[in-house]
Amino acid sequence: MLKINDLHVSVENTAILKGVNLEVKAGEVHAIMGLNGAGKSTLANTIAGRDDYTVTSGTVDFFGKNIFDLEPHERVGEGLFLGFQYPVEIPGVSNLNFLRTALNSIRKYRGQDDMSAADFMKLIRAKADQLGMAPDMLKRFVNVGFSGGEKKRNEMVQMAVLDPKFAILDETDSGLDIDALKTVAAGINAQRRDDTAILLITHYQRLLNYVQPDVVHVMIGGKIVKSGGKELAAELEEKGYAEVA
Amino acid sequence: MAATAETRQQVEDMSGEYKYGFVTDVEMDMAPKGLSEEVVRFISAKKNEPEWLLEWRLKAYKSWLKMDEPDWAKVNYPKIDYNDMYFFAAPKSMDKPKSLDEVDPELLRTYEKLGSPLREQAVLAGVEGAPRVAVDAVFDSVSVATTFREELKKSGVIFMSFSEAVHEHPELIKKYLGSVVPQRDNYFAALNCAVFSDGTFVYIPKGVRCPMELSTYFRINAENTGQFERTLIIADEGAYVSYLEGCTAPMRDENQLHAAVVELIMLDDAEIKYSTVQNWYPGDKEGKGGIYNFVTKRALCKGKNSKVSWTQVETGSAVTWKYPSCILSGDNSVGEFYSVAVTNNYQQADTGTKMIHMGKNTRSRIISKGISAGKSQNTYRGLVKVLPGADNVRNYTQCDSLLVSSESGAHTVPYIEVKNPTAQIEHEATTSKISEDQLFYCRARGFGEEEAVAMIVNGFCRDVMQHLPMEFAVEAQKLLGISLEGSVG
Amino acid sequence: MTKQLIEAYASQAESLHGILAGMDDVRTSAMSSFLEQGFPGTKNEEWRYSDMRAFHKKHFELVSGKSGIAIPEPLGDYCARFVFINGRYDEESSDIGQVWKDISIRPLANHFMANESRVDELIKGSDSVSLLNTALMRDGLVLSIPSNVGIGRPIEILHVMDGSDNAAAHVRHVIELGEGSSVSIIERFVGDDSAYWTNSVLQARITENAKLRHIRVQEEGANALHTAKAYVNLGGGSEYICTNVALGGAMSRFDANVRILMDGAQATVNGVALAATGQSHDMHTHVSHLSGNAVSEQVFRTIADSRGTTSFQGKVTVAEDAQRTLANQSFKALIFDKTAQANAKPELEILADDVKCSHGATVGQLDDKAIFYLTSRGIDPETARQMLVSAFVAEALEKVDFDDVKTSLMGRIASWMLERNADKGTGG
Repeated sequence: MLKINDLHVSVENTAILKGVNLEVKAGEVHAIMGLNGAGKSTLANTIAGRDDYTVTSGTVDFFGKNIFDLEPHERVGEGLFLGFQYPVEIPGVSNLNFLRTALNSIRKYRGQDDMSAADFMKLIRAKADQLGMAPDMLKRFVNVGFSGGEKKRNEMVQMAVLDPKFAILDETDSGLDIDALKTVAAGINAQRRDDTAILLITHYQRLLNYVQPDVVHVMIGGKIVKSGGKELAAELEEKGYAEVA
Repeated sequence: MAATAETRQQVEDMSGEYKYGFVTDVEMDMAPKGLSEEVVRFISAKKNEPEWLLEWRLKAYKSWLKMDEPDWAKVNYPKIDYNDMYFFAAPKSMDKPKSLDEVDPELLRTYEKLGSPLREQAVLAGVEGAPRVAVDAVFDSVSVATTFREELKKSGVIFMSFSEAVHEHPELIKKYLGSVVPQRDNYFAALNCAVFSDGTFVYIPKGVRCPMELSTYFRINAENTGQFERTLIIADEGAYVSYLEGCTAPMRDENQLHAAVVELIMLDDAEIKYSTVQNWYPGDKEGKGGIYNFVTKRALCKGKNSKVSWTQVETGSAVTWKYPSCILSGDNSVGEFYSVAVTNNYQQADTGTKMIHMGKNTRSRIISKGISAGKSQNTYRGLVKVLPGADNVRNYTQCDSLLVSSESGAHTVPYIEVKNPTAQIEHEATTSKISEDQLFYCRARGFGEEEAVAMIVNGFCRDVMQHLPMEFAVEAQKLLGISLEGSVG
Repeated sequence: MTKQLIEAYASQAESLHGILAGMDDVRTSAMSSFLEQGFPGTKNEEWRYSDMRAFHKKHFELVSGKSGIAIPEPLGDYCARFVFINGRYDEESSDIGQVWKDISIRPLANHFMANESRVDELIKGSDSVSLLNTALMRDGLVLSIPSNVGIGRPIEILHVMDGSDNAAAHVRHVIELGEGSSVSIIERFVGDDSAYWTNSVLQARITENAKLRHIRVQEEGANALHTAKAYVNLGGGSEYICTNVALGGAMSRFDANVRILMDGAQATVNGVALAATGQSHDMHTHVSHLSGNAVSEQVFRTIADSRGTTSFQGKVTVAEDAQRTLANQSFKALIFDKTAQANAKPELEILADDVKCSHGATVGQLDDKAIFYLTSRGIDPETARQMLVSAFVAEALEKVDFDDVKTSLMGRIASWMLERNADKGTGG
């Protein structure tokens, strides 16, 4: 599904990623763990196509296409989703309008017709309900005045509605209390299927108690230095990064 | 110079109010009353100036004659009669002092009384470890002494009176005089160019960080006399200087004019920090007397990565008309303006800044705090302008006004003019009454009413005060309290 | 002004003598005040951002008649529609709709015929364009709503110009709201491509507990000049809600002069301006709090694209006795191009102490982070920008209470964005 080959990325002329290799297949959940500044978020933002991240060499192959040939929104059309560490507030744009425009943009990219308003409402209500989001939150402006937990829940609702094939969740677990963490985990597990894949980026092992990864990678200094099964996460928690790596 | 004893007595009687209202009794050398080409020539001759400078003055005088006094500021004052004042006054004893020992002891005592002793040993005799400050003392129209010159010379710093600099460094004066504030910039600037008497000149050479704070202490003493000084500070590549300016004047019933020009020039990577505590005599409770403070201050960030920071605490003067500005011409240059303006009784202040963004990636920041008490009027007036070539400009402006009395006025007049699509300009302003809750809380903790007001006002001004050099900040804080005395109830 | 221009305007005022009863003296004195000051230059602080160059050169003449220009569809559902063509009331294209019980609506001319003393109630103005309007007004709408009458749907007042390059229309509307009454009006301005001038003044007296909603939609022809003023006086507990939308014309200026005369009134003045291809839109407000316990709100959103200029001068004054005043003002401008410009002068003049007044002003671009967030959800950049622009502008249209009108306005803003993108051919 996604294949990263010797990826080098710099931000404002400073090299951050220094040769990342990673392959994620359908049906898999991978977790990338690492300390602040290891390059985890840079990897997520580069795949999603954010400005200011300069790819100096390497490739990212997404369903057989070079991902860097695609505009950010086209990547989403191909089935990519990025869950933000800090979801952006957009005053004046309601959640409903936002999601509906997004969903129809993706459908248009795929050559499908717009979803009818009735079907859309049915879909979004079901997903919001499933993730415990109050219906009136849908009418509010995107993330404006939301608490940290509500913002992350909103990310999960967006993921559920847009139904990506491949989701990267950038520290979606950070700063959450235990209830919010469980909501996020429920969202992730609901998206876990044979035909989808998920890449979790996280600091702590905490989330991995609720979402069992198939593979765990350790990232240090812009490289993946060690990969293993889910037991690697526990080992990291116990011994710290220095010793494990 | 009459009635000095009486005035002194008055000052003592009103201890806590305007502390600097005394008069020094020295014999003065004055220009003929009024303004004419002859007076301009007289001043130039008194200072033994070269021909080119006289020509420069005369050109300014001719321009001034054709200009109009500005009327756009929110200030009212009777028409100034420029023929009913003296444009030059110098202590007679001051003809050519070679060292401090030759300075009239009466003058030395004056500056000691003002808290700014001129004798270097006196400075050093203070608290151990106290920071040293070099002082240029300007008394009416002339500089009477400049301290620490020798020591500064060792690091290549030039710090002297403007008149001396004209003779000793004519090439620098010729190059920079009027290069930031053109003669015809405005009515008062043109007037200053014609009749300026003295002032301070500073040059910090390439790569030098000035080893001590420099300061000028301005004192108006003579009656019916205007003070027209010029300050010119040049920070060469990579240089840094922190400069302080203080001003006081005796209490007199008639108004006196102070029309100064300050020009700052920063080359690549240079930085100037300019702090002012302006405490000219504000007039009495009925609005009688006080200084008209009509000042043009401007900084030119000529070099890339240069930086200028204006900090002002304005508590004095009957009328203030003053807009220390920044021309951000070098790429990546930074301009800052931090201001506290307190008006009480019948004072009027119209002050603010201009940030002219010309270079790329230039940034500016404006924090202005106005406090209006008594029957005073306090106006913030500012301009943030972004020219078409100035990419990625950032500006943040915050103007807050606090009303301490129901009869005073607080006004905010910002201009924003942007001609570049990459600029980000942000302006916020608030006006509100001093909080009853805060006052009551302070009172309930045992503060007197005036103490409580002073406390709250100091808190309100904190964002600005923290930009003043430490020793100045303490003085300024006390001054805020004193300025607001009698404003409550 | 040239001597020729002075003579031309003076004779225009004279030519109108005898046309509105009791107006002759008023015209003469307004014209002489106008001639004394002429049109303002950019040195005039109040007109600093208005491009008045055309007025100094050109003589604008009163026109009459019409050439049969198509009358545009209404902005939304209305209860009555009054059409003015080239400054004259056009009964044929108007639609008074229903029989108005108790409510007096009539053209200005009839109004003066009925009662000459009404002339005293006219606001003469002191700036040059108001003075000219006073000197040269010929027609307009007089609307009096009796006490406690509420009218649900808006009244549309449509101004159509199809004159020549020198045509001018000086229209005056007089609105009076009795105690506890309410009405909504939509003032709309359209025209052909000639370089005409619309100069409109609306004066409104809103008495105790009455409420006036005022929506202005300026979509003049591409070469038109548009100057307009609203003089509004507010009584105790009354409310004025104005939304000004400046889209058309080469140069436009709107001045809202709102005076809170009695306690407890509320004034809202909002505005949107979109300027491109050499357009300049200047919006002025002066809200005077002359009495206390009142609230004023101002929200302005503007966008300037290629060679467009948007300007805002907003002034709030609080008089000595106007205690417990709340006044808030927010101005935000977007600039999309190197040749575009945004100016702002939000001004506070406060003489009372028990007040809470604030203003905020920003000039900048759309938020990059927000654009990325939208595109990261699959929305293409052009749509993303469109959504953000709509959201930005919508803040100033919040007080347009009629959904159909609001939808029409949002549609105009969306097409403006599409046009801008098409012009640039960049798609973003």
